[in-house]
Amino acid sequence: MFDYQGHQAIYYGDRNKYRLPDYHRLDVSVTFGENLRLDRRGKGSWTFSVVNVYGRKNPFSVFYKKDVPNADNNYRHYSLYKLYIIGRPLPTLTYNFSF
Amino acid sequence: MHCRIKHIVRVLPLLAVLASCTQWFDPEINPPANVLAFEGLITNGPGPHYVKISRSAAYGSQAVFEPVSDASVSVRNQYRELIVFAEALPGTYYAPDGFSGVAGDTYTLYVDLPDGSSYRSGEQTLVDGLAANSVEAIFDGVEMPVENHLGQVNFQEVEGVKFFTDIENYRPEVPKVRFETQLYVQYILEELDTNMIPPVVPNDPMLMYCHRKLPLDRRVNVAIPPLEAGAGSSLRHELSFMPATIRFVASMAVWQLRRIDRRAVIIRQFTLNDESYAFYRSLHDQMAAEGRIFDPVAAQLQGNMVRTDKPGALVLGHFEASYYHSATYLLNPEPITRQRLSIRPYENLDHLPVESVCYLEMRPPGWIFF
Repeated sequence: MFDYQGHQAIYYGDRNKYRLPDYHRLDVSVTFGENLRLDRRGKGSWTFSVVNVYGRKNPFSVFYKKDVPNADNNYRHYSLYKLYIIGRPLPTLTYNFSF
Repeated sequence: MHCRIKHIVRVLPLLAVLASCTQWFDPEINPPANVLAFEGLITNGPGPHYVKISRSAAYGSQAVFEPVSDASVSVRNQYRELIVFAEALPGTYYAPDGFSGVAGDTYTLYVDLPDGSSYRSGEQTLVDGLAANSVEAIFDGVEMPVENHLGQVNFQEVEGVKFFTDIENYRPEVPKVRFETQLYVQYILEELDTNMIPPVVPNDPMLMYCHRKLPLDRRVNVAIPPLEAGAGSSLRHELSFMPATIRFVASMAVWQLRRIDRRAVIIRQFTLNDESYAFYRSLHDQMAAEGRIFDPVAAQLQGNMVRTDKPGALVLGHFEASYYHSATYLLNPEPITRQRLSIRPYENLDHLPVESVCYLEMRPPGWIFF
C-alpha cells in the first residue's frame, strides 16, 4: 500500500504470485426411480441432493475493500475480503422425466 | 419450452448472486514493503507544484508511509531548462516561487536519492485544457457514514447539496479531466463566558472572524465520459456532496462556534494527458471497487516512474503535468435548506489558504460581506 494524494493506493502483487486456498466440497445425492404406469411411455425419478455438505466457504474471489470508515482509520482503511458462493449446505430436490 | 429455458438461464446467475457472501479474509501473503512511491504534480496554475516521496507499507501494517528526505529533485522541460525543487517538509519538495508550467510543454521528473539510486518519470505533456463552464446545485439526500459521540459508525441518510457541472467538449477526443472540490467556510467564534475571563461587556462576548477550506470529496473524482462522447458533446458530471449541516472542530480553548456565516465551493479542475488519465482512472476504479460478483476486476496502478540505475525495479506512484483551472461559486446565506438554495459565480477564492485564518473583532482578507 502506498500514499497518493491522501488516498491509500494498492499495488497488487505479480500475476500468479499467490494462490487462493484449496477448493473442495462434498455433494451427495440420492435418486429414487419410478415407472410411469399409465402408459409406460416414460420414466421419472426424484433426486434429493445436498450441495456443499460441510458448508465450506470456498473463495470465489479475493479483493481489497474499504472498511466501514470512521475516525480511527481516517476513512481510508482497507481490508481483504473473500467472496464465496453457497457457503452452507444447500438441499435441492429434482424431478427428472425421460421418454 | 425454449422460453422457459431462457428464464432458467437468467434465474440461475441470480440465485448465485443471492447465495454469495463476503467474509474477512486473512491470507498468507508477503507483500512488498518499503518500495519507493512518488507523487508529483505541476500545473500551469500558481501551485503548489510539488513532489512527495515516501515508502510503501505492507498490508496489515499500520499504514505509516515513511517520508524520504534529502533527495535531489528536479524537473526538466523539453528545452532542457531545469527547475530544482527544495524540501520544505520531510519528503515533500516544492518548486521555486514563481514557477508554473506552460501548456504544450513536456516535463520529466528526475530524482536522486542519498543511497545512490536514481529515478525518472516518463515525459509528461501539459495538455491544453478545457474549463467546465457551469455548476449546478441540487438539494438531495445520500447514505453516508455518520459517527456518533461513542465513535460508532452507522449509515444514515443525510440531506445536503449535490454539485454538478457540465463539461462541454469541442474536441474530437473525449475530455480527460479530474476534479477536486473544496468548501470555503467563513464562521464566527465567540469567547466563552468563563469565570476566569469575564467579558468586558456582559452578553457581548469578543468575536473572532475566521475562514477555512475543507475537502468536500474524499473520492478520486475522474470524469468518465460515455463511449460515444466526442466533439460537441456535453458531459454532466457529479462533483461532490455537501451536507446541509456541516460539522467541524472549530472550537479552541475559550472560543466556541457562534455560527457558520457563509459557504462557497471552489471547483479545481485538472485536464489530464492520456497517461495521467489512465492512472487516475485506475485509481478511481480501485477506490470504488466493492468486490461484488459482477464488478470489474480491481485495477493495477501503472505509474510512470522508473529506476534508471536498476531498470525493472518496482517503483510506485505517478508524476503528473496537468492543465489547471479553478472557479468559485457562492451559496446563499445560511441556512441552506431545500427551500433556500441558490448558487452563483463569485470571485475566485482559490488563493486563500486551506488552514483557518482568524482575526479578532475584524474580518480577515477574503471575507464575503454580501
